[in-house]
Amino acid sequence: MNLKIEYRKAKDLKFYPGNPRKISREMLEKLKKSIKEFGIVDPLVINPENQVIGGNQRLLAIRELGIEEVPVVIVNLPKSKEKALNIALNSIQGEFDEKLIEKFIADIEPVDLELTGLDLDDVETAEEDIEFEEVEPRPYRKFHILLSFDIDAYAKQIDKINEFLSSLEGVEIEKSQN
Amino acid sequence: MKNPRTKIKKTDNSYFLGKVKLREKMIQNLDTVRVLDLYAGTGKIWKTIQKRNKDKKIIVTSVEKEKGKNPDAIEGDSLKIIPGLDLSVYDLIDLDVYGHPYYPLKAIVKNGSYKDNVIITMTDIQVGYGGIPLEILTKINFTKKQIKKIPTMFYKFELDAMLNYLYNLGVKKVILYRPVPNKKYMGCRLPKKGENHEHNL
Repeated sequence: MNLKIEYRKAKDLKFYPGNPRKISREMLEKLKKSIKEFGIVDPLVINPENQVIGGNQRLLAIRELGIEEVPVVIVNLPKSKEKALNIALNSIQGEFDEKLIEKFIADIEPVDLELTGLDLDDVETAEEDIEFEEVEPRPYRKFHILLSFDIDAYAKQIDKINEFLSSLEGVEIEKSQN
Repeated sequence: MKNPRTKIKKTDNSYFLGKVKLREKMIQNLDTVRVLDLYAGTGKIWKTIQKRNKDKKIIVTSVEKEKGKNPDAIEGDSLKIIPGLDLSVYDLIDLDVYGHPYYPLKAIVKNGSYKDNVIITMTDIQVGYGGIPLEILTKINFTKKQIKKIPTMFYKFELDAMLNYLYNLGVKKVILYRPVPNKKYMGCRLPKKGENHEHNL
């Protein structure tokens, strides 16, 4: 089967009649967040009547997000096989190995983790891992001076600048290139 | 049939448990706790705390902005609601805000009707570099011009800025949990208005 990605208007697509899959509001919001961030990177699977065989929840999210055009792949199958595909697309999948995924996601930024749709709010964790600090609030007693240099001028005088700044008492230096 | 939705058991869930444990730590000496949960979401945090602390009586008043998210909550924008609330009945005010708790905390201070040494619990999540309120950075002597010029530099001063603000409110101790650098959960006791340090409020 040669698959070709085409584009359809979201309003022309129809939810699959009697689609047995449902989605909670919470998961739908996660899905919307993911689509907002990554776009629709996985085309919806539709039949020639524009009914969505695979991607009904995404279609719901897409409509709520007001996205007008949607990438689709069209398959032409007998009704029975079409229904079987609807189920198969959702039910045949692997599962996460908890140890491997722990390593896998270790270097994902927390902000990005929230885009994965993983349920991160499970209470079954080792309580002893949570350590609190006791901090005494304190007044902030620093004064800030921003020095901006032309980059070439800075490069030429870098030693002189560093020497001068280091000679001053109580100075902290933060450098930034913007 | 197995539900294909994935649950991670050990990885990042300390975020949630951290929130729960911080609040438990703050209420450990109370038998009855009246809570004002201003960013309640589904109410999961306090439901979990009640489940884990059956000996305590926890009475929660919840506020949630998102329609339909929490049937037990008053629907509304906390920032708009706070000025008109009588805060004197609450032992704990919870600001589990996604973003920065500065503005709701400021609104609470301005309201001023809270109990002396009311417990405040806060979630402080920095997403990107634009999430720190300018006001708390200017209170620690950065100028708006500096912040605008190099926004990426101020990220690391956020905790100092918040501790400085809390100091000025007269807070003596903050219980802090930092699961990752950009997430901070804080609990403290806020003295009655009028006893605060006077500058920089």
